[in-house]
Amino acid sequence: MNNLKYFFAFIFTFSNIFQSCDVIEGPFTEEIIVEECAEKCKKILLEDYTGHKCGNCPRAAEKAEELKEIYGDQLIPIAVHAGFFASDFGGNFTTNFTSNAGNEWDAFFGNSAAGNPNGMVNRVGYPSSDHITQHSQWAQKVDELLQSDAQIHIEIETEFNASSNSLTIETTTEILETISVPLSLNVILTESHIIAYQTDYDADPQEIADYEHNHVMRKSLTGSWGEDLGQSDYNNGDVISNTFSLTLDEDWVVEEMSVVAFVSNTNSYQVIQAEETYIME
Amino acid sequence: MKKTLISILFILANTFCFAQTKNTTLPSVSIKSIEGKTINTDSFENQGNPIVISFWATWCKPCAKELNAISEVYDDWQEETGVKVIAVSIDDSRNAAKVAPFANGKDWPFEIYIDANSDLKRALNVNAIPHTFLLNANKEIVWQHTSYLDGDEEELYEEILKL
Amino acid sequence: MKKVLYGLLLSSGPLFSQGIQNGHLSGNFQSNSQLYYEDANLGITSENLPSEKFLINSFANLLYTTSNFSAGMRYEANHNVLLGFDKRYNGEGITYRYTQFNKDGLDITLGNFYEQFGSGMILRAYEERNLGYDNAFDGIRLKYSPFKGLYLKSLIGKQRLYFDKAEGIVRGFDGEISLNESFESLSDIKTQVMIGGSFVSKFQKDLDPIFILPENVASWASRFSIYHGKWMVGAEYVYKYNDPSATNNFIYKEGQALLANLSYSKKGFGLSLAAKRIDNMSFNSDRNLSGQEVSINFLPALTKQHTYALATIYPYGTIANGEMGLQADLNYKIKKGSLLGGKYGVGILANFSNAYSIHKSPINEDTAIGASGTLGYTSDFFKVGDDKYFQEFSLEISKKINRKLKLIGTYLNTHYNSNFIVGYGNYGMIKAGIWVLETQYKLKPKHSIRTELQHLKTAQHEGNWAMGLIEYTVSPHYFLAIQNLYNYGNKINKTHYPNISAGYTKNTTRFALGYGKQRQGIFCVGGVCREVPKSNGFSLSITSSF
Repeated sequence: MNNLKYFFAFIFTFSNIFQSCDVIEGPFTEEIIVEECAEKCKKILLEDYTGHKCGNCPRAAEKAEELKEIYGDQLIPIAVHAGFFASDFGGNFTTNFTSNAGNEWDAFFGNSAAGNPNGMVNRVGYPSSDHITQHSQWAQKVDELLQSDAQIHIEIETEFNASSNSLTIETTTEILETISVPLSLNVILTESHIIAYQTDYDADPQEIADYEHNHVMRKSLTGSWGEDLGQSDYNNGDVISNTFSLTLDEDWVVEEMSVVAFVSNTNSYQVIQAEETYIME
Repeated sequence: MKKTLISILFILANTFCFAQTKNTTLPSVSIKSIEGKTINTDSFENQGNPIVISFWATWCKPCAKELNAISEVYDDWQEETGVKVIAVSIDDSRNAAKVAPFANGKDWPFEIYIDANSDLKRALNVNAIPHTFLLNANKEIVWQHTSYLDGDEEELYEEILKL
Repeated sequence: MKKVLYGLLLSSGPLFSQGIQNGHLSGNFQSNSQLYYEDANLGITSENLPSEKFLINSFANLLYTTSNFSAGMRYEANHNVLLGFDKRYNGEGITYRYTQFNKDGLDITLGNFYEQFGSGMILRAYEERNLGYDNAFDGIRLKYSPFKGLYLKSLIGKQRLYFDKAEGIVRGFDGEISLNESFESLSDIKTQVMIGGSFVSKFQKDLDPIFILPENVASWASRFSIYHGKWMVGAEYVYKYNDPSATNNFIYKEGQALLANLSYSKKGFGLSLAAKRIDNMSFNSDRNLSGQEVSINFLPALTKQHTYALATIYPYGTIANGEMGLQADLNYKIKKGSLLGGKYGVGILANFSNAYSIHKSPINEDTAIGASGTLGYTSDFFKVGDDKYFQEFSLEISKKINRKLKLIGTYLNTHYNSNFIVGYGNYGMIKAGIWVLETQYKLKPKHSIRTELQHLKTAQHEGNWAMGLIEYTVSPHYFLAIQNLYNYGNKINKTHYPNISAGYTKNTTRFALGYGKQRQGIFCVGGVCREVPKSNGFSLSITSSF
């Protein structure tokens, strides 16, 4: 054998990799203990980019529901229908779940281009392309973000007039810590328990006629990129109020609708705080 | 990024003038024979006669046409020039086991090798197959051609005759 | 870091000039571009047309080699990437760079490299530019042969993910011994035996609050092949330890794969049989990515690869979560002079292949099959599942009629289960019968005409297709082709897809320009597939090497 030293060096150096094997014996999951929060809690916005013809998307929706059960009020999931699978209205899939703002977000952040389903947790990670997260990563991102305290507290009041089908929303944004970046307020409407078609590759048949769509983003009242909160910087104790009003679409069921408001960093798009409330409280 | 590119181009400018006056020799790469043995291209031999190396795959129709066309006139070619044709398949494990039955089924009289990891393909800068190389007595690449149109084997033969 | 690199490169300039006595610089270049137009017939409107209108994929490789040393790099520029390719390939940059040197038989590669262990079912990093597939490693690879017949390889690295790298660190070791070369006493016997084994492990941190994930996912493989005269038999078995990932819905089941081959070949006759079983064998550098972008391994599809236009409408792609299948392939040349052979002989190619699901049973009464955070399911190794994924029978007969004319006739019968094979959506089991007649006619020396007539019959999906092609070639430089695909059986929209293309080739440089419509399709190589949307417009491809 020539160059015995090389042979042994070779084997020795890499023999260590034979040790690298983890086998997990059950149980495979652990309980997450979510710190109880009394008031002015940090709340995370979870955006699930999806489409009714996207066969893998129900997995992401299930994950969002699973996390909602664990984190309760501290997690605010919304389903943004945009892109190829959401804009295909062929066959039985006649419902249009897309919205102008949702489509713009999708085009800007590149979600459907990266393949549905995917999502964003507080839009953290933009623009390095880390902002697009797979649903299997949502838990770890939410967990990470909930380690920090709330910097802003949002309250939402709604008033609905059934006869005119009009809705008035008042948001109160209370600053808890000094923030020196421009802030934008985004207010959107979501609707749950909508029964319509959905493709699910794991189902048999794959076309489900009575799928329950939840947290569907219907409309943004603040355009695609929100309304500036009006100050150059923000100090502890600052309170900013905004009012919005609109007439709801006829086919929307107001009892299943919520208002979601979130404040984001205008430049980095990162969401600093979110809040959700049912319209009919 | 730009700096890296400029410096690379700078080196190229230096080396280019020198590098292009000679032919490349066949790079030394390990591939497998159809008996599964690891062979280095250094061992390709033809006693000073020309060698033709042709890249093909079981799913590549023009490659099969080229090798069929050469196999029909191979006896004549060998008589006149002593040329040896080596056919290197770039089939991956989807088709690798079929390479030998395929080549034998078509009755090809060439030496067949399998370049499973595409090492030889990359070393010879092959993009699309078929790609055929002609090596002289010193195993230098004197001519190469990509794609195959009916009758191209005649151009190959003219180049072989020049040696 | 960049400044150091820059400095190193500049200072190595003179070094290179010194070393060029033995060294040589070579490279290649390829560019594929398309100009997209609207087409009312195909449903391409200004809304779904790419806003750039002109898309281009291009790359250039440079390679420098001396006797003991080689270095290379590839620069890619996609502004923007063609339709059907992942949009995260948009951009430009150096996506491949390496140096490799050989000292006393120890081969060291630093930087990017491609590698395959055995059949690739445990580890394979490769590039398939037409598929937009490139999962090269970035790290170190060592190759060493301590004595004749024994080949060792080891590697550590991260895989390429578009213009970045995946999170996981992959470590691998492979050993292969050719008994006849290693042991003097065996060198002359007729039976050639090769035995090999590999071990691969992937590290990725567990940040998940719900699952307890294994950070080091390991797998091992063993293989052998025996050659005896005209016979060959070989097999490879891969075992993967628990790998909960997005592809298998986070189950903790182990994965297994087996690929077995048996073949007989002699002059004028070749027969090969293959069988495979795959169970939970998707192995990715990043457990959260469910596509195939950072696949560590390669699971081959055991079906015949076709090139005729209508024969590629329903291609099969491996289903990593579980499948089993067989393939039988026959190659026969009826001798010239015999009764059926005629003056020149007749070539026959027959192939049969299929793929079924594997049988899955729940682990206990309370757990659904494949529920996340459990062991998933159990599967009897030899039991076939209930679903037929794919089945194909094909027969090709080629006969040279006279010095000028050659005919090739092909028949395919395909069963394609669109409910399981992701691509076309829910059309159930698509059964298609395909006929192709190809003729090659030599007009005069160096001038040839090739024609193809194809027909696809199916009662499902888009219905019947008919296709015709005429190609005129002038050796060695020119080709001109006109073709049309007509989906006349489509109940909703009978569409024509005409296309004209022409090209010029000189030695290693090739230009091809095309104009026309392209049907929506699925393009597969190996077991990996890419969906291509329909399009209309010009396409230009340039390739060259020096």
